[in-house]
This record gives sequence, structure tokens and C-alpha cells, in this order.
Amino acid sequence: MRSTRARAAALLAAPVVGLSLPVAAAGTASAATGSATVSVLHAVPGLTVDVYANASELIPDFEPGTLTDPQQLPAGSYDLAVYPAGADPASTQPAISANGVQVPAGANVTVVAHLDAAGAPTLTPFVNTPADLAAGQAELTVRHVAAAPAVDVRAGGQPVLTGLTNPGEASVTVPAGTVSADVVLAGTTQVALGPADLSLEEGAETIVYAWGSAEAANLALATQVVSGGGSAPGGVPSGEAGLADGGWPAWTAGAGGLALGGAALLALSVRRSRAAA
Amino acid sequence: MRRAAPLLAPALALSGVALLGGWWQARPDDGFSVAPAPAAVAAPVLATGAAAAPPAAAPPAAAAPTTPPAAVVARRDAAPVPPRPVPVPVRLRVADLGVDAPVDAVGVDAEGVLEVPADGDRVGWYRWSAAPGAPGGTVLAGHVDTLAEGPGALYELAAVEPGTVVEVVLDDGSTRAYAVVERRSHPKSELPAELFTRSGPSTLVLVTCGGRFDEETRTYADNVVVRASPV
Repeated sequence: MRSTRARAAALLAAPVVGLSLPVAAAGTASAATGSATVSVLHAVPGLTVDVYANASELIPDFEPGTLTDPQQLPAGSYDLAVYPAGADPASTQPAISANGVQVPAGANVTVVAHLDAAGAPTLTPFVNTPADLAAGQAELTVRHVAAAPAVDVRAGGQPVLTGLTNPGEASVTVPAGTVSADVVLAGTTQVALGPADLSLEEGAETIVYAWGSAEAANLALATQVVSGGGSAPGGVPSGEAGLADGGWPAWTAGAGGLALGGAALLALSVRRSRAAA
Repeated sequence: MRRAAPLLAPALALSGVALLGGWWQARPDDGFSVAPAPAAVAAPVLATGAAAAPPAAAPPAAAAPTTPPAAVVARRDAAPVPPRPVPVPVRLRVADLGVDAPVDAVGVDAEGVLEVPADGDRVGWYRWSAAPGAPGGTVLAGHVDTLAEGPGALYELAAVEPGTVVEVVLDDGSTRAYAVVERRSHPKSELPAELFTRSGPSTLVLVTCGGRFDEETRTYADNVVVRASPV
């Protein structure tokens, strides 16, 4: 705990930054109610914090490497402030703060407290936009939120996302299933992180955060899964011989009707000819 | 002609009745749907109270919201979790229909349709549907017939009755039992996507082909879909 407080003191100099979310998120069901889905990831190593939104405590005792469940928050503008756990916000400077963070109605947002490329704590809101996926496919999104240089992400030894820099993100659509992924310094085969087995859920967006600090040798991965965007198979072709077609063709019904009609006409004409005779 | 007429009319009438009656008898039935027994309804997994607490009221978009949820927000360790194998189906049994078929895990082919095992005696578990016992539909699909082998594993599915017991054997040796609650035919192009859902009550979904067979394209018009609930 002592080291945590020491770390917190070092963070006090972090500047206040103004942020606004790209309002790319299309309206979803929650748009009608004026709320947004918000998750928060704590990716600043070594510091347990309290997170405040508009001067109210939102997340107490928030530990590095943890992710909140998605919450429904009213859409609007938020002043976010991160304090060392247990600190009195009235008398303490925030370790990190971001004023005027816009949370649009219907958006699905992950706010990440992390280090920038130079190692200073910062807050970055990412909008989660699961891609439309064909059946059997998964979306892998990687977000670089570590104090580290540009990286490439490899899956099964093959680069799938290249040249990613803090606080950037990139996505790729891959077959669902388990992949062995690692992070290498951009353009090299020098492994910075991993490999780790990642379970890429079918029809969902798996977001992988590379966080921590290369200098402090505490780089780590965090994951978040955002569902939606999947598809059902295009069909179930499961017969080829016609043996199960026990039905009578439609013409049998038509012929039956014609035969009945013909019989009625015949009976009528016979009766008439008898009456005439 | 005049002498034949009295015999001709009843003969025509009889054959008309026979043709219409036969067609009516042989047409596919509408299936059935019965409410599952209360015990069979799996309790949906609810979010923790803290995470589910809705905001009291949505303020105008421009105003700064002043009341974030007061309850403690649920959180978890975000480190990647090593993939945990779950028991998957290896055998399907429907004693009343004489079905006892091995099950393969399958996905979709290059055309995006479900890869039903080519061997008509085998059944496919759609690996991206729910594992048995997990929320949502566990989809098993098998051929009604194949050119090579004639009737397939699910040849009798269109005749299944409500309450029929269906057993799924898993690769950990356990068996899960289900009772049939619904049978429906859907035109192939209108197979409901919600059959493949991975949320809601745990349900077994059996799919094969049925309805009219088109000799030109060598395909059936419909999918026969049977749902069964855990017992």
C-alpha cells in the first residue's frame, strides 16, 4: 500500500485533458431511453483508485487490470476524475482527470485509464462498434494503451495488425476459435508480450488491450468481449434423395376436384335426358 | 354412351374423392408447440443487482447527468482467461424414433451454410451454437436422407410426438435428457435465426429437411425443426 501511495504522488502532476468521443455509434435500442453502455478499464499499473464522475463516486477501490461490467449511464457530458483509493476529492488533486467526456445516447463505450506512450497517466474513451460478421467469424480488436513503442500483433505467428501506436486501435475479422497471439515491436520479431491463448468468440468482438509499461517491464494483456454483430448459418441443407417426400403432388388434388365436378355434370345430364325421355 | 353414363358418374366421383382424400391425408401437418413444464425452464442468468441498476431518469442530452448509479459497480480481472473446454455432444439418441447416431462438431462451409455431415448416419452439432446446458439453443442437424445411403439419421424426425425423450451424450461421459415441446416446418429460406441464439433458456434444437422434394435441384423445400427442453 505504501508503494501505491508513493506512485499516486507521482501521478498528481498529470494534466487535465479535455476529451470528446467520436460520435460514430449508431443509435441502438438504448438510444430511445437516452442512455449509453459504459465499461471502465483500469490499466495504470501499481495504483488502486477511486473513480468519480461529475463529482460522484462511480467506482471505489478500483484495482489495475480490472474491468467493470457494462453499466447503463444517462447519456451526456461527464467530468471524470481518478483519485488514489480513499483520498478525499475535496482536498486532493486527481491523479488523472478528463472534463467534458461526451457519452452519446446508444453508444457502447469503454473508458480506459492508462499510460500514454511516454508513461504519463491519461484517460481514453473508446467506442465499441462490433462489425457485422458472417457465421463462424469473430472480430479481434487490439487497443494499444501501454507505455511502449509501436507494435504488431501476431496470431499463430502471422502478423494480423501492424504498426499500432498508443492510444490507437485496429480490428480484423478472423475465424472464431482459439488463437495463440503475441505482440512484437513493429516490424520486428522481438516479442514484447505473450504469447497468450485467446478465445475469440463467434459472432462477437473480442477486444484485447496491451497495457502497462515496457520500461517497467510490466506489460500485460486485458480482454473484453462485446457481443452483437453475429449471423446464423445461411441454411441447413440436410436431404438429397427425396425419400421423405410422402406428400401427393398438388395436381392430384386438382384432378380429384375435376373428377368430382365431372361426375356431378354427368349425373345432371343423365337426369335431364331421362326427364326428356 | 348413354348406357355407360350411369356407371361413369359414380366412378368419376369415387376417383375424385380418392384423389382429394389422399392428397389431404398426405399433406404435411402443421406440427405442434406445447408449453414446456415449469421445471424445464432454465433460469436465465441475471446480471448482478449493482450492474443492472438503471438510472433514475434520463436528463436532457445537453445537461450534465448528476446521478450515476450509487451501488458498487461489479468488476472482474481483465486478464485473458485460458480457454476452458466444455463438454460437447458426441451422440444423439431418440429411442422412440430408433435414432442412435454419433455427433460431430461442425461449422459452416464456404457458402456459409451449416456443414451437415455428409455421412447420413452421423449428426452435426453446430459448434457455434450453445453447448448443452449453456444458455441458448444447442443445434444438432442431420440428413433426412442421402443419395448414397437412403434414409438418414433424422429420417423420422417429422413424425416426432410431443414429450418424446431425446438424449445427448457428452464427451465427458454424461448424458443430458430433453423432452420434445415443438415441431415446426419452415421454408428453407425462412429458418428463424433465433434458433441459433446463445442467450435465454437452454434448449435442444434438432434440424433436418422435409416438405416437398424438387427433383431438379435435388433439395427439399423445408426444414423440419424440433425443439426440446431439459427434463
